[in-house]
Amino acid sequence: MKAEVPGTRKATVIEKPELAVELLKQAGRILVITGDGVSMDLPKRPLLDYVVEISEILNAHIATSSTAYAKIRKRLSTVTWTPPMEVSHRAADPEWMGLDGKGPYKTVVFIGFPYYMEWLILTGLKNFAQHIKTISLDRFYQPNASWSLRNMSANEWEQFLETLVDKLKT
Amino acid sequence: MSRKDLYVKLREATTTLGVLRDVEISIDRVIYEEFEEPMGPTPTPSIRVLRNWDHILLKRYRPFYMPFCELCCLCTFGKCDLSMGKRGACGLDMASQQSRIVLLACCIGASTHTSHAKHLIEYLIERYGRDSPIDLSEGIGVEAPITRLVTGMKPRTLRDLEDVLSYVDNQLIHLLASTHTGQEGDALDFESKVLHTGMLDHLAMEVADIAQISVMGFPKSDPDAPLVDLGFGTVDRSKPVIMVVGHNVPSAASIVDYLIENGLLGQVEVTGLCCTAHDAARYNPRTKIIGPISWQVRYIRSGLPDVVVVDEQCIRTNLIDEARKVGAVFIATSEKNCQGLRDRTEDPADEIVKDLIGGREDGVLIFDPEKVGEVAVRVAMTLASKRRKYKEGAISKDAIVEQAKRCVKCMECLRTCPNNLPIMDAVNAAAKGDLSLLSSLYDQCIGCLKCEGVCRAKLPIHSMIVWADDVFERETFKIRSGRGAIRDTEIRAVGGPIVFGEIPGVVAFVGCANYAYGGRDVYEMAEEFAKRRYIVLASGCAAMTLGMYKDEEGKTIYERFPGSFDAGGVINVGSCISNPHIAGAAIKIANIFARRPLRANYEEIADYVLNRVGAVGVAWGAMSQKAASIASGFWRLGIPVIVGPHGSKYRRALLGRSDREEDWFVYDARTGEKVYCGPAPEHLFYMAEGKEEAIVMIAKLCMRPNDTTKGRAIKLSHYIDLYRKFYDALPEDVHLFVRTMADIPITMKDEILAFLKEKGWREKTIPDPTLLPRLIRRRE
Repeated sequence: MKAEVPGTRKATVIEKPELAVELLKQAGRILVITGDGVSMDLPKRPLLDYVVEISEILNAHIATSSTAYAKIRKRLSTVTWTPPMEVSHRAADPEWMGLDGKGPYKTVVFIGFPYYMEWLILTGLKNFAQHIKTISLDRFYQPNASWSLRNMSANEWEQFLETLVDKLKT
Repeated sequence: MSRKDLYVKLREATTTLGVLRDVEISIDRVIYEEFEEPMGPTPTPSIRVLRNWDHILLKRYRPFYMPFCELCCLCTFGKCDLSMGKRGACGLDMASQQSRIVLLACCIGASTHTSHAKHLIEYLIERYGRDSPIDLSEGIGVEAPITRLVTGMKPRTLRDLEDVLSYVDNQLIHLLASTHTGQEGDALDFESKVLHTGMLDHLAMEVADIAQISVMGFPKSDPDAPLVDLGFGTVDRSKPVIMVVGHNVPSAASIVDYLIENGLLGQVEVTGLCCTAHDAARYNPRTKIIGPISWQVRYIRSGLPDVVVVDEQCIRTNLIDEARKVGAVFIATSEKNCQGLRDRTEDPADEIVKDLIGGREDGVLIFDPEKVGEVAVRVAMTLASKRRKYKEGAISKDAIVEQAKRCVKCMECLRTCPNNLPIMDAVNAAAKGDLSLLSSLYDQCIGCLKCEGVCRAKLPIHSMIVWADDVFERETFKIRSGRGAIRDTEIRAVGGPIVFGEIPGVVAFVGCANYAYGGRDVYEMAEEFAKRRYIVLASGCAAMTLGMYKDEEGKTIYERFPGSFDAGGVINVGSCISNPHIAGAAIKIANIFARRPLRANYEEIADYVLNRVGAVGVAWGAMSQKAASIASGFWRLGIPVIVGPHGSKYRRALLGRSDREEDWFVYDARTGEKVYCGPAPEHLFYMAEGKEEAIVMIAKLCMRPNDTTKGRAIKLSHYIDLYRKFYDALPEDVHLFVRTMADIPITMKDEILAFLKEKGWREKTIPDPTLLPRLIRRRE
């Protein structure tokens, strides 16, 4: 798996959507942090559709500073405009009660970021927030997450997300 | 400050002690104190002196570390794995290691500016004399605000500036020493040293810029500094072309001098990139600026420059290879950047010219600026006609299509591109004859050539992107030449409106051109705030980028907005080393407008700026270690800095927590009472993912505890309006910034009142804010 690996530990690869389903179902309280990339169109549907559907099924709060915020808010009430740096910094605090004030998150899911920015935020959480697990659902392998997808083409990625949503629904 | 060397030689002297023969007495300097202002509490502070202030800042703005590397390999104990809570063999933990690396980066940055300043001052003293006066303009009474603030010195001549740099040298040695194995072990104390380094960096930069402004004929605080040509398309292709790159101007200035002295000005195009271009244009406005750092390779590949002259800093280190490919001659001029070339400094110019034209050497090292000037001009004038075949651009459109057919679709270009540009898709479209996707990458390509390095088909990808369309060839813009410092008279006029919030903020676009989504973002941000009548400042590569876009009437931002330090002004202060004029303006507001003592009074002035001066720095494409140290200098002074997404690679942010009420208390200087002031400014060092987020954050970070109700209402109206524009909602933290009913923008009153009610908002006191107990006037 090609990636810029910063140290001795790297993310476990999520090869199949089934594993992602299991991880997310057992993840506890989930926060989804999504970037400007959420506005991109995948070959079949906009990425935003998948992010909203996954968050909705998992009852997860979305944090974003993306310009897609208004679109997400129209479909989901559990979204807060929060820049990724701010919310990650807060998530690193084990006493932080979350965006809804209901308690700390157990798992943070990342999707829709510039590769390097996500890479760095994840290394911050990996080293300074060991109370939370991180999952990257982005298209390229993120070694600093707890779990990450492998490098894949846009078609493969969409196929993965599509299956993930289907299996989460069932 | 005035100093004189004293040297006495006595052949014979009769004294009460006896007869003295052949006595020589040498006293290095005699200092005459001429600074009417009494010395403040912290002259030439050592590392520990301002540590208390640093810790006040760092308690509120906590580091969020993002380790770029989880290992330490700086000593033979290692490699040590510091991840997941482990410590290295020396005892250091991950947070301390990250802050240590940040300190190292800042020491590199500050040393680079200091070294630049020292070389420059040595050159200027040799050329203009040690007693040449510091003279910035008639409108400048406080000639060196940072020097006065930090050292307590009031420099009058170039000689005095040497003393300032001696202090900087001394401190940098101690700071670098603290990064050695087995020294500092606390992350926040490393961070305090980072802030100290940044302060020193601003000092060194100020020294360098006021020296060159004083004696080299640069614009002196002139709001109407000349508009100069910017862009590749402004170069006259029929003339010999010299390209200067770097930051230290003597060689470029000497090229201009040689042309003038020999009646050749106008016959040779002097063109530049990066800060040397800024300063060469300040020296002579006929110098043409090609663009920022990312334009270096495309310009050489265009084949237009006949001679490439490099000095120091931010020069692509294998530029010489690119020059060789197009038969251009390469001249290196700095001890810090010798490029493996033969030192020809002592050789006669005739011989050097003969060797270069004859092809016996394709590059030389010359440390004498005057000789560089002569050699560069003579070689360019002879070589230009022989190099015609190179001057038609790197690659034709037909050749791009043919090259593109060789792509093996390995995706390595996409994976390695710092901006994740869809290069492979663009190349494959080009192979089918459609060059539009390739040309659409032009504005986002930072010219790093990493794609070419990994390409299995060895495609000249950067050239293919640049010449897929004629955008580069058509670049013809105007930029206002760097004006230098802000006049005291301007400060008097706008100090009040800034401190009270009626001018909603001062936004400075600084730093490098490592933009994640192209330079247009920076231009659009600057334009947004200029239209809203903030004061917009710019320097370095960012100042060039601002000039590289036009409105529908074909005018650049510098042609549309005035160059005065006033609401709606867009001011290019100059090169990287002109950045202290931005910090200096904030300092002068405290000193000239508010009459706070300036001399060696760092804490009080920084406290004033943090609580009262709504200034924000934006280094959207910050790349270098110098940018890191420049930012640190702003932080210590209480000025927040926002960087673009690539800025996350600086590996730590300094973030406030608006949800922690206890972090946002200040003293009311009138009573000594601790008062909640709201999260203003909320962060000190912040990375934004996109332009929209940055714009909203800029407006928010301009708020200060001291804003009057009218000022706060104006600032809030901009913040809310911008947030609405991009996110179509009311910001969810508005209640934190409304202190009294009068703070509420009148046109938004009903909506905000309803929101405040929902949040359980209560009216608060507006303090006379300070974080320093010693500034409390009366305790209750």
